[in-house]
Amino acid sequence: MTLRPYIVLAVVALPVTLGAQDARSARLDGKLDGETQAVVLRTLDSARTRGLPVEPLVDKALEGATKRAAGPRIQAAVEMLMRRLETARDALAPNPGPRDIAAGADALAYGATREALVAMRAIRPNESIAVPLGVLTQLVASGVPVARATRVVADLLRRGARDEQLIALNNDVRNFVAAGVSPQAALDVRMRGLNAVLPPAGVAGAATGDNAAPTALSGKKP
Amino acid sequence: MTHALSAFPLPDPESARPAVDATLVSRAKLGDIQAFEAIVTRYYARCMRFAHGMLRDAADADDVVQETFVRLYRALPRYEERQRFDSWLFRILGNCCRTANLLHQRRESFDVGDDAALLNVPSTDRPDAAFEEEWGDEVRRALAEVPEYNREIFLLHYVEGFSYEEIERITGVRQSALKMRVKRASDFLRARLAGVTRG
Amino acid sequence: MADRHEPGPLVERALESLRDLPPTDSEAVARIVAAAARTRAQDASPNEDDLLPLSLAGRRARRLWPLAAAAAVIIALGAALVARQARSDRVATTPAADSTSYIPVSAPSLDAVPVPTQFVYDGPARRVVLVGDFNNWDEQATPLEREPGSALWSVTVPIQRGRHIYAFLVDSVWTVDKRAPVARDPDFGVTGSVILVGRP
Repeated sequence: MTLRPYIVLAVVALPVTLGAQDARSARLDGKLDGETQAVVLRTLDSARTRGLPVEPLVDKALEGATKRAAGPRIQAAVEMLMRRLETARDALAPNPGPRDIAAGADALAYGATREALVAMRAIRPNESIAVPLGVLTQLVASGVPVARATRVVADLLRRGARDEQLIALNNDVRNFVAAGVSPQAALDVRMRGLNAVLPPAGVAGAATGDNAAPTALSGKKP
Repeated sequence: MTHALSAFPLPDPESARPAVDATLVSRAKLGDIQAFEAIVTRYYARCMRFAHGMLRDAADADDVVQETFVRLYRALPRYEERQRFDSWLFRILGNCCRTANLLHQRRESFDVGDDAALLNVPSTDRPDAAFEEEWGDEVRRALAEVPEYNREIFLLHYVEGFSYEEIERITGVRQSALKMRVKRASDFLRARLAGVTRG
Repeated sequence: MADRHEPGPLVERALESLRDLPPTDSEAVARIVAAAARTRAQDASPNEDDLLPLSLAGRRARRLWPLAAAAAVIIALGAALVARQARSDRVATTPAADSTSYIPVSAPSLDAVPVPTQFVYDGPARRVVLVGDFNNWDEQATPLEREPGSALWSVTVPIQRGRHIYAFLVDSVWTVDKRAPVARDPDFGVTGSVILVGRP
């Protein structure tokens, strides 16, 4: 029996299957100490097993390395991010893209709720919501309460707001806050401006979807 | 009628959360069903307590706790001992509770009246049992009105005794955000129950 | 916020009630164990060789040894190919690179097209580099170019739509973008800058 066909097959098959995984792992080489790299690689394996995107995890480890963080801190950050990715993936079901999952994990880190992610997905089921989630994250980071920020972004999505309008809203809120205005007031005044431009929900034709969490989307006080 | 107010500690971590025997977990990982049964027996009551606090419909608690343990059993081969076992268990339980709440919400509107299912029959041996029952009902009704994302962290911290650091590992949510959620839940309960005690 | 938030006496009383443990229902425990055992039986996918009679398993092993030998031979070849792929993988990756882990909700579309995004740093320096979550935080990958006769440095990079964190390394010193929102960093405690990227 000749070995040649096996060698040819293996040469073709092995790098294709190993290359993608090893390329990501190779990016960590030289950036992390041995123990941290071993722990992070185990986390990456665990993430793959669970069907989670590993790019954000590699990026988080590289971020820690660039910021000269201690090994245990990098390990913990990567582990916690993996958990958030899993929560985001489940909340943004079915079959969210990797950018949406990463954006969802980011939002969760800053205090957005799982219900908020579910609500966003329900309103925009077939397009990426990375930008709306990013705007939600930034509004919360600016000091707007989570429930209010969620209601505003969800409402704007239902009314057909484009990503650029959401980003502009966020930039304006930030500028007002930097000038000393309270985050709530800044959001209120900008919403008044957008109300003049956007149609009411339903007229825009955007999907309304289920209201996931009444406390996040209704007028109920959190 | 007055009630003695205890000084406030968190539940003592060791008594509230006795660590599961590592041998039991190792055996259960290998498929030892009796070891798994011992684990279920150890944690059943805590899981039911948490589920009753979390769920919109307390009648779902049996199913949710069963689902949790079944999922845990299937995932046991992947369990790594470097994480606390109960942290891992409550992570699964929290996920199952939130899913059940979502499904319940889609089936019917939110109704605090469902909490009538949580009533305990008072013992006639305890003269103040009726008062305790009423107070317990009011507490559960008030808790049911706390937004789920605040309620969950409140229960994990104050009832189940997890530290913020552990909850951060369980949920991936920052400690600062967790503390805010606990505070909001406490503030809400205080305001809600103050009306009960004045009335 | 204080680490030990005190809930107050009223909430303490509520907690006394909430901490009551229900009794352990032995019948419920038995149902749970039975349900778990059933799922384990359903999940079991025995190794095929375990089911084969020993004689057949031996024959299978003899058929497999050439593959084992081939694997040993190609390890060196594979290592070289992987190293080449790692070098080409240094640029910012797109979601397609990780497509074995999940299935995107929609086909690749304009959503997935990176947007050329300019970053500007204003200040005297010998060298300014951009690092962020869009270029693997690589300290070498994205140097800025200085406008002749000024202290303005800039670079334009393709970035996926969404929220991104970045910073400048100004003569190797971590520097936030003064014109951008600040990104708190609970993971590592090193503040960065935020940019939200939408459609051009």
